[in-house]
Amino acid sequence: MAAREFFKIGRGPSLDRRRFLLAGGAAAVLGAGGVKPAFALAGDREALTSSHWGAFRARVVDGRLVSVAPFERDPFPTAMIQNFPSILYDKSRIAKPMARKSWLEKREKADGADRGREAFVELEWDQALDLAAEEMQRVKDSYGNEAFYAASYGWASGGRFHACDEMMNRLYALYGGYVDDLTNYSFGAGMVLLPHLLGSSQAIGGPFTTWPSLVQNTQLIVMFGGATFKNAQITWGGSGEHTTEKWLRQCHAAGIEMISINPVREDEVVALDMEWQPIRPNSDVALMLALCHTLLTEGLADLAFVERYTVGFAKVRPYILGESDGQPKDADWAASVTQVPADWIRNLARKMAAKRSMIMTAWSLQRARYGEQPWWGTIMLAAMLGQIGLPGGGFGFSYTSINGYAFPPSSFNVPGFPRGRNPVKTRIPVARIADMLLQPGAEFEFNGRQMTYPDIRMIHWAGGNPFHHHQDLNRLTRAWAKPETVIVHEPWWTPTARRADLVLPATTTLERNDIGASPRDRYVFAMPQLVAPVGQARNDFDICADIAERLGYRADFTEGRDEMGWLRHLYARAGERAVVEGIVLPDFDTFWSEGMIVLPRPEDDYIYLADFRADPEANALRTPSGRIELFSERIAAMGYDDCPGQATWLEPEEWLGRAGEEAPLHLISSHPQHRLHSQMDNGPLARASKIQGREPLWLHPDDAAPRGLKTGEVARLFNDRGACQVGVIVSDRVTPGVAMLQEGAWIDPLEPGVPGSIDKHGNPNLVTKDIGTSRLGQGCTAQTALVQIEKLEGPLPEVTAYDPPEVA
Amino acid sequence: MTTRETTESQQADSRLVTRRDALVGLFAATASLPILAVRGPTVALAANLKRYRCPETECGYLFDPAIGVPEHEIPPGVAFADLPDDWECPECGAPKYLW
Repeated sequence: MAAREFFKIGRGPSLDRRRFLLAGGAAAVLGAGGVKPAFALAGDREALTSSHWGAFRARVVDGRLVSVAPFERDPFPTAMIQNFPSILYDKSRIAKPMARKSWLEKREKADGADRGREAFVELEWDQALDLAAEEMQRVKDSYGNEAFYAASYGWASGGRFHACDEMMNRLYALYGGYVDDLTNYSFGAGMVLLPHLLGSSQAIGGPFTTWPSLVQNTQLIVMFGGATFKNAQITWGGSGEHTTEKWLRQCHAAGIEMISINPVREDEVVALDMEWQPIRPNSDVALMLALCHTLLTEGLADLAFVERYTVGFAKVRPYILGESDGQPKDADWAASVTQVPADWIRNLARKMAAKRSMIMTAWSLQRARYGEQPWWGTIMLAAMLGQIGLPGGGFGFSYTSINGYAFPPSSFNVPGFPRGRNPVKTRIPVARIADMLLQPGAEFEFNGRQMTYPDIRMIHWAGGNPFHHHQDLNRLTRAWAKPETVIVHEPWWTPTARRADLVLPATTTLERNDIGASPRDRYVFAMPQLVAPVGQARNDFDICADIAERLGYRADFTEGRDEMGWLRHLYARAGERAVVEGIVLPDFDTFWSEGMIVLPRPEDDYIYLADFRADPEANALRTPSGRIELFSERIAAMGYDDCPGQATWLEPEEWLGRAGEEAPLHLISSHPQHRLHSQMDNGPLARASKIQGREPLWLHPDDAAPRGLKTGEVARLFNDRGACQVGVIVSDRVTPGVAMLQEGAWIDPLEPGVPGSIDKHGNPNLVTKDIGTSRLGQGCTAQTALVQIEKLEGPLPEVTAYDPPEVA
Repeated sequence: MTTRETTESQQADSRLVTRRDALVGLFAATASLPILAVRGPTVALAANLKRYRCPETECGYLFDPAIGVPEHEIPPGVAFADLPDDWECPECGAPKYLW
C-alpha cells in the first residue's frame, strides 16, 4: 500500500489526518461562547498524559490547553486526541450546578415526563449537594435501598482513580446498597454464553492467542463481522501504543490470507488486501452451520479432536446433517438464508481445513436477536477444524474490538478505586433498564435464574449516556419519566444530563490528577492536572465525599485520603502486585515527576487453550464436562426456545428474510470513526463528518436511486418505533438492502422530552428494538432493526444538540 | 509449520515509525526518556493455582491465588473454583459465574 494513503480517514467527508495532526487543528475550531476556566494557572507547560484515546503531550499556555501532540512512542495515534482543546472549553460544558425548575419547586411531586423539555435553575454547590443528600435520605427512608439505581454505566474517563462509576457505586454501597447492573452493551450475550461452553470468558477478555503467534503461524484469518482499525483507536484506561493496526498490517505483510464476512465493506478490506464477502445481517450462524456441514460430509472435520476435547457432538451432528429436523444445513440451504454463494461456502470450508486458520468473530454479531448463536457457531466450527490450542489457530472474539487485545499477557495492573461491597443483591442485565423502570415487580429470566425487577425511585448516574447507548430511545423516554429523582454528574450537556433533575458539573481528565494504566498495554502514565477546573466543575470524588459528609460517612468514603493520597495508595498497591510478577516499580515521586513507566515486554507468546490441548484432564475446563460443550446440557435444561442447547439457526423477528414494504432495509449501527461512542460528538472531528449537521448514513446506490437520494442530502430514517434525520452517503460499501449509521450522535428531538418526536441529529437508537438477545444473555440487540428511508424536502430545522438548555 | 520471515513487515513498520517521529518531533522537544521498570526474581507459583482475568473491558482485574483477595479477606492459596459462589470482582462487581 502506498505510504501516502496511510493517514487517510476513509469515512464521510474526508479529513486529511496527517494535516490535522500537524496543525494542532482542534484549537482553531474553538468558537465563541465557550465556558471559561474559573482561574488560570500561571505559566506555560508541556506534559504527557493518557486517555482512552491513548497517551498524548499537551501544551498549556497561560493556564489554557492550546494544543496536543501524539505520544512519540505510539505507532498509530488517533486524530481524535485533537478534540481535547476544543471540547474542554466547548459551549456544551456545564458551567454550574443546575436543577430542573419544577423539580426544584416540587421535588418528587414534579412530573417526570417533563424531563428533557423544561428549563433549569442555577444552584450554588452547597445547595446542590444538600439536595442530593436530602433525596438520598428521603428515598432510603421511604422505599429502602432497593429503590436506588446507581450502577452508572458508561466509558467515563480513563484514570484508575477518578473512575466515577466506581465512585457512585461506593457512595451507595456505603449507604446501605443499590441496585447494580450485570454484563454490558458490548458483549453482554457473549460473556454469559462462553462460561457455559468454555468454562470462562477468557476468549473475550484475554489472554488469548497473541498477534505474534498469528503473524508467525496463521495462514488464513476468517473474520465474521470484519475487522476495523477505527475500533482500535480506543482502549479502556488508555494505552501508550496503538498496536492493533500494526499487528493487522504485520499479518498482511506476512502473507496471511484474510477474509471479511460483513454486510459492510470497511476500509481495511482494501488496506489489507482482504477478500470481502457480503452477508445478510444476523444470518452468520447459518453460514457457520453450513461450513460444519461441508467439513462433515467431505470428511474434513477433525473428529479425533471433537472426540477428545468436546462433548455433545452426537446431538449436534444430526442437526447439522438434517437428520433431526429434515433440513440439512448444507451450503445450498445456507446460501438461501445468507445470500452467500453455495460454492463459495464449500470452498471456504475446504480452505479452512487445509490451512492454519484463525476465526475472529466480532462483538457486533452477538448484539443482535439470538446473538448467542453466531458465537456458539464460531466455537463449534473451530472445534470441527481441530486447530484450537495450536499456534495461530482456533478462534477469538476481541482481536480488533478495541486496542490492545491479544497483547502478550501482562499480569500487572494498577488497581482501581475500590467500589466497596454492595449489601443489596438485586441486579439487572444492564440492557434491561427500560424494562425495569416500566415494569417494577415483573419477573424475567436471565441465564437460568428467575429474577424480579425492583421498583426504582431514584437514579444517580456519573460518566455515562444511556440516552445514546440504549435501544429504542422513545421507550427509554417513557421509562425515564417514572423515577422521582434523577441526578447526573457530567462535564457536558449530554442528552442524559439534559434529562436529569439535578445536574452536577464534573471535571474532565485534564482538570485532575490520575494514573493511567491498562492490562492491555505496558505503560503506566502519570496524568497530572493540566488546567484549572472549567466553570465550577468539581471532581466526582469531591462531589461524592461531600454528599457522604452530609449523610455522616465521609471518612468511610474517603478512607481519610485526598486525591494525591489515593494516587499514592493505589500506586503502592500496584507495587505490591508488581513484586509477584518480579517487577520493581520506582517510588511514587520518581514516577510522578518522570511521568511514565514502561513495563518489561512480556517474554512468551500465549496460545489460548494450548494447555487444555496438551492435557485435557489435568487442565480441564470449568464447564460441567470439563470439555468444550458443543451441546450444553445446562443451557438445554433452562428450556429457553430463544437459546436452545446447541448452536441453532433461529430466524429473528426482524431481518431481510422477513422484510416487507414498510421497512425493507436492515440497519447496522457501528462504532463510530470520529468519537468514542457518544464521547467527543461535540468535538471538531465528529462535527466535520456530519452532513448538513446530521450523522451520515451509508446507502447502496440501488437503494438510493428509487428514493431519489444523492450523497449530501438529508433523509428521514424511520420505522414504527421512531425516526431521525440523517445525511446520506451513497456508496457500494454497503450491501443492497443494508444501511449503516454509526452510533453516538447526541439525540436532538424536534420536541424535546416528547416520545416519538423526530431526532434531528441521527442517532440509530431511535429505530432499534429494545428486546434481549434471549432469556440466556439478555444482551442488547442493536443490530436487529428493519427500517425505511425517505427523502426530506423543504427547510431543515437547526441542529441544537450541543446548545446548553434554557436557564430560567 | 515453519516460522515465517517477518523482515518485510518489520521494515514496513519501521518506515511508519520514522514517519511518525517526524510529526511528533515538532511538538515533543521536551520528551524525556522513559523509566523502565526492572524485572527482579519471580516468585514461584503453585502450578495448579490458575489466574483468572475479569472479563469486563473496563476492569481487567486479575484474580491471582498467589495474592488472594485482601478486599474480601480471602487469603493467598485459594483456587478460583473455591471462591464463594456469590463472589464478585472487587473492582467492577462482575459475578464469579461470568468469569
